[in-house]
Amino acid sequence: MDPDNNLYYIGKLLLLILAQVFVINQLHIAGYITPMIYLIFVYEYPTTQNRSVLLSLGFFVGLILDILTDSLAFNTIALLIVTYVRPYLLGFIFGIAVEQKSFKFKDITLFQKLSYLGLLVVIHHSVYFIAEGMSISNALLITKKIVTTSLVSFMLLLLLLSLFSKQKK
Amino acid sequence: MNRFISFFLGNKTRLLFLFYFLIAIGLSVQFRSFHQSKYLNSSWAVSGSIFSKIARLDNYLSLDKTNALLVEENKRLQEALYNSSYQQEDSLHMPYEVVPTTVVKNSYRFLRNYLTIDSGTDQGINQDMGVINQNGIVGIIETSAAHYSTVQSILNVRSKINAKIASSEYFGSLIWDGTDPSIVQLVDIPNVATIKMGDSIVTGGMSSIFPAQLPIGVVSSFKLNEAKSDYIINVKLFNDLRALRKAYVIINKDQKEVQYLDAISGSR
Repeated sequence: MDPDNNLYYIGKLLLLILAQVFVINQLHIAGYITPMIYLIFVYEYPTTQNRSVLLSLGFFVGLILDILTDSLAFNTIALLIVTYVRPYLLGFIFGIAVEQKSFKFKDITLFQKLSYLGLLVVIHHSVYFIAEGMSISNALLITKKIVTTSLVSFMLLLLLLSLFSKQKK
Repeated sequence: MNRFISFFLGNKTRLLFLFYFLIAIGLSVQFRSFHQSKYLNSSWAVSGSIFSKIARLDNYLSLDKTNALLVEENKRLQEALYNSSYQQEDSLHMPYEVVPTTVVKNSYRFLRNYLTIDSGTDQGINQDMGVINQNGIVGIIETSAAHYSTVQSILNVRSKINAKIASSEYFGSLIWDGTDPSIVQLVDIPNVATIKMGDSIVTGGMSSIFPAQLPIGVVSSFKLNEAKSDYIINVKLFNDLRALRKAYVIINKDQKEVQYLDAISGSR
């Protein structure tokens, strides 16, 4: 199946949301760490596609997650910011290559992959937990949550990406 | 005019981002002010029914445990029933009604935690009613739809519940600092109070939400605040809020009357 196909992408997105809400959200590593795997869709979104569509996807996916988890638009805010900065991140890490039609995520080096995913996760988690805490008295707790959850999410996302990536021939 | 249009076209992604972002901030800020989750909550019919289906499966797998808890509770209730004939005061005035319900969604990992239960306005449940289970208090109803309601858990940094030390009449507010889901904090207890480790903490009955003397937990540690005027007491909960299945909503038929009196005396 063509990974740029919209239907394929939306189906995968719905699956991700359901997996996040009903499986991953039941997981509390060390009592408070719950990784967020839905970032895969921001990571994998084709670079040739329209930016506005990605922004809108970020907004609506965030809204659905907020409704399902009773969080006060934190998912929406974090996803919006991460979808907005994604093109800048891509430009920063991959340079001019991103703008060419032939650019494919499977061709990137391991270092590029790790730094791209890492930055996405750290930006998203920082915005999320700061929006959730929203008070300087919680600074220590917020920092702890950002650092630990980012690490766990990062590792889980790497695992998922390598599990579901197509084999290089 | 041309320049105006080309400005819009040139910045359309940025403007779209701003538009979405303002909506998101608006939703977030609006709900922070008071009873918050008016739109973004899981008591909506669709999500409520998905959660309740999953909870049903989960409940089926833990029937044994639930049964044991119910037997335990029955035993206690029967004892109370047999003892009650000695202390009847007024059998006609019974202000509290209890509605059994099932927790279909639970959370304790956020700073603001909400539960979803599978009863709503059709069962007579409305905002500001107390939710308990056999071990103690759980939270307060935040919003209710026809068949589902969301509950502000006591594990919510916005939660503030009137509570007191069982052995004395000093009362304060029960809050949560967001760190440990088995420990909440009791603040505003004056420094003249005597506190011992292991003292029981119960509801204070100064609000119309919970009846007095419902169990909450025991004192696990305490210290004076920075001004040395009040105690900050860590309370180990009797209730394990990470494993909730059955709960009860307490409907206080006198609540409107009490709130009306509070409102006209300006004490709220």
